Amino acid sequence: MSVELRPLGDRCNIQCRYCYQEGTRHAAAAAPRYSLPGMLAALEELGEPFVLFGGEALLVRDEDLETLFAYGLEQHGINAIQTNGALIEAHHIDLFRRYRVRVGISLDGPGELNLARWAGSAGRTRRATARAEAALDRLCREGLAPSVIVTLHRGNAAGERLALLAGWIRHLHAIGVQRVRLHLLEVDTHNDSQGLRLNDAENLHALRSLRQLESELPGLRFDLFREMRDMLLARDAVSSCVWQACDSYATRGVRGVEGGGERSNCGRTHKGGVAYLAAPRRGYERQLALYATPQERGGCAGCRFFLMCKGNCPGTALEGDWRLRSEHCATWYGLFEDLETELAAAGEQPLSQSPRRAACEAELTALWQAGLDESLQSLTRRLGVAAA
Amino acid sequence: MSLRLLRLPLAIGAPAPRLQLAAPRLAWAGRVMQATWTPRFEAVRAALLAVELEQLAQGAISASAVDCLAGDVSALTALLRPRELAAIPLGAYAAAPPDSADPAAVVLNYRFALVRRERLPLLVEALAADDLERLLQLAAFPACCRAALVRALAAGEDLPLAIHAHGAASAAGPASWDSPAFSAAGAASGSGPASAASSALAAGPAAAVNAAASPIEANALLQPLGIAAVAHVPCSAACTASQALGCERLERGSAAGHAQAMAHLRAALAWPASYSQRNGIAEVQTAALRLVQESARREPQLTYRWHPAAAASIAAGGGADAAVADRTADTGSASPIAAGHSAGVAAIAADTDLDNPAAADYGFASLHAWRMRQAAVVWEQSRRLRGGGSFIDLACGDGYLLQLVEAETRRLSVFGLDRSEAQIARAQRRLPHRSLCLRHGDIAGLAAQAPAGGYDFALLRPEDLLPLPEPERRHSLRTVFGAARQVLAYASDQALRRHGSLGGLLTAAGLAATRTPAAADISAEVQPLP
Ligand SMILES: C[S@@+](CC[C@H](N)C(=O)[O-])C[C@H]1O[C@@H](n2cnc3c(N)ncnc32)[C@H](O)[C@@H]1O
Ligand code: SF4
Repeated sequence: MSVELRPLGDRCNIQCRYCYQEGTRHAAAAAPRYSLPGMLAALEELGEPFVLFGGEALLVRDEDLETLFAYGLEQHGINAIQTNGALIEAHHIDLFRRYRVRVGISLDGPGELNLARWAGSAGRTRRATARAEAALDRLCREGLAPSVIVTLHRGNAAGERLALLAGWIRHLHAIGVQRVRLHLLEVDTHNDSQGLRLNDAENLHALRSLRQLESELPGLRFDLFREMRDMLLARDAVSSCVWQACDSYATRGVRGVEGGGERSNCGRTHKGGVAYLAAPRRGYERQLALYATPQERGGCAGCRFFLMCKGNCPGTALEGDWRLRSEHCATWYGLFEDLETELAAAGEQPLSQSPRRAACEAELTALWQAGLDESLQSLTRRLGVAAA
Repeated sequence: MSLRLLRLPLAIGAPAPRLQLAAPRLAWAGRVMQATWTPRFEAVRAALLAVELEQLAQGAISASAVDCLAGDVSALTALLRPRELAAIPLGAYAAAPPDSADPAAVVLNYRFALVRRERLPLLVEALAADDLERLLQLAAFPACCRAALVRALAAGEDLPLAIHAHGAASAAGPASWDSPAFSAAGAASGSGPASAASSALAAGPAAAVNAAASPIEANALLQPLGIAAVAHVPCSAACTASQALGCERLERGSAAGHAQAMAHLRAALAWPASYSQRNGIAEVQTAALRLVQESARREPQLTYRWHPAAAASIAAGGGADAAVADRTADTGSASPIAAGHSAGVAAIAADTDLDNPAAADYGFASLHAWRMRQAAVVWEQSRRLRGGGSFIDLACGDGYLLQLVEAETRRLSVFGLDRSEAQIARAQRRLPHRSLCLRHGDIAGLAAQAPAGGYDFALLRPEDLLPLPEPERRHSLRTVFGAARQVLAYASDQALRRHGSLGGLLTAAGLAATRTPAAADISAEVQPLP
């Protein structure tokens, strides 16, 4: 679970061509509310560590950033920010150090590989990319190595570009980056993501190549592979939202706090450009339907990886319809198979191969029917199912 | 008080074992919508209940039903007593409390049939006999709607109310609404059969699109929330009997002092709305909210229905109400981003300039390391550069750093020098508009090329001077400082390794920083050591 604080809502200094927020950004009729006390009150009520998010969080004025970081440090001993990196200045790095801010920078690669993260013109995009790269480099030199989010698409992971991306990640490793988060492109109709999508084979090829790269780079981890492996072993206590039976009416993986302190849903499910407010309670209609619906109809019936994947993020659902499984199914499936084979070869038993898998599925779907949920870790323990 | 009117006086469990009665989950399309419509819905529900109770009391209908939380039973009783009405429990079902986020929290919802005291025996008899037909008759369902619902339930329909109504409506085709009340509502949303043809919702190959639109559809869509002009479940969008009853009810409500609530109801029924059912999940979307209901049946069937007005009115950013300000829309292919689509993708398809093999010659392990260093130098010096002026990179390589300097502000004109002809050629390709200012050569020739008044900035790699014999090095430095007002220096990875730090490199080259650099700096303004 993460709390995303979005002080300025979707507002951003750049306009990534594929950004899932473009729909709500362009449709917004009124400026979002902004109230520092409102945000602090909402954070207080939630009582959990938060990530400064956006849009672009560094558009917030410095005094307010400092107030928010000071609050985070006092309450939780730690802070986090997710940024496109282009606005980072020396004084921000100073704040990051003083307030123990873990920095995540989104960059899809060097130079042209990052062109989809468009800043309005070729020149401005080049500058924004270079500034983000420079800030990343600087943070590493200051001993504050950020994590990096790379979204895979035609501009950075197709054909020969994949090798360039890999070379760049090698360099990130050399300067001290330890965590890279990989996103598969989420395709929306309200932005340019269609033209950037990789097909399943290309996505799988890219992920397999990067996984190979990971084995050559001691100390650098792509969160994705470790998480998927952990899911197969029913170790899902800290897995990310996409594996956690997300409900687009009340995204639990991501809970947003807006600039006026209002609660919001994860923007990835705002398909029609409408930022629906979170429904008060979660539901599992999607997972239950997927479990029972044949795969040729957009469901997951019969898939041995269903317990781990659960149809994945509704924001990536086929046809943009949250009721269907993720359009990246074939990619996840291929990767789960790779990991499963390796685990089995290493003498471990992935849950997908457990003779008690059906029992676990029955238990979990029964819980969902009752509006409840449980981690695989606790469920397998309770049922005495050995995984791992 | 939370009472929800659903005129289905059927015992829970039978004869409609799987008819979904619980209120659907709802999400508002923004806080303005929520703030505006939550109280209006409350008012509409209260008014509809009052109208229903009056109709029961007057004998216009014999039976109805409400859902009621335990805490509201006494309030309900208080409403029934003066009207000589009785309530018969039809059963209870557990559901999450409407506003609780706690997944474990459930409350009991009671369903009561409401009936005039003297007609109590009739209702009890019909309930005891599980006589669905009779029960619906007591609830004043028109014959056609009665038959349709009996048929649907016998066929094992287990769908939410809206879906049932839609299943029936899809077969029936477009309606024509002549009643003043309804056509007013229709006009407000710009809907109607005439615009039906323009409606199309891309919904995948399995989609069955039915563009028929009528207030009865909206009625069916919001009915699970208790927001409906027609109290029974209409058999189709074209049902004239239902239409007449709906109109009558709206008028009755207005006449009974609920004019405002009825106006809100009319507005809600005029919302563009879509309904779809897929793999057993039904979803209704309107400009103000969306709601979802699950059904046990996992039909592949995909039925999208869309009020023709929806696309147009949403795209225009408008709607039935001023509160629509909070509504956001899918602007589709007309979006400004889409306009840039082809340009963006074309640019992305172009070759990269990430193929320069010369990094090692410049003291870096990889092109990425070299480029990132150049980006870091510009980042560190950015503030200084934004003032503008002329800038020369004395080892410009393929011109990447100059390109970044140019991007800082238009007020900078850039010049480059490099000992490699091949690199200058690359730089000229990168910066064709500065072609004449990018020259092959070394520092010795700098003075001859300098613009009148010299450069504002010169960027030096001190490590390039170290291999030179002492007099030549000193001469080079004199040349640089003679040609530029501010001299900036940076180090390659190789030089940093060799000299421990930027400071170490500067000293070795006979230079000093004008101000002590920060520990992480890899560039500085420099001056010659005395
Ligand atoms: C919406 S941004 C907000 C925070 C900040 N502006 C940033 O860029 O990191 C959060 C993350 O979502 C990613 N993202 C945006 N649109 C996406 C899409 N269509 N598919 C996959 N990831 C996407 C971005 O690349 C970024 O890493
Ligand atoms: S919509 Fe996707 S990203 Fe958002 S919380 Fe759900 S799973 Fe996570």
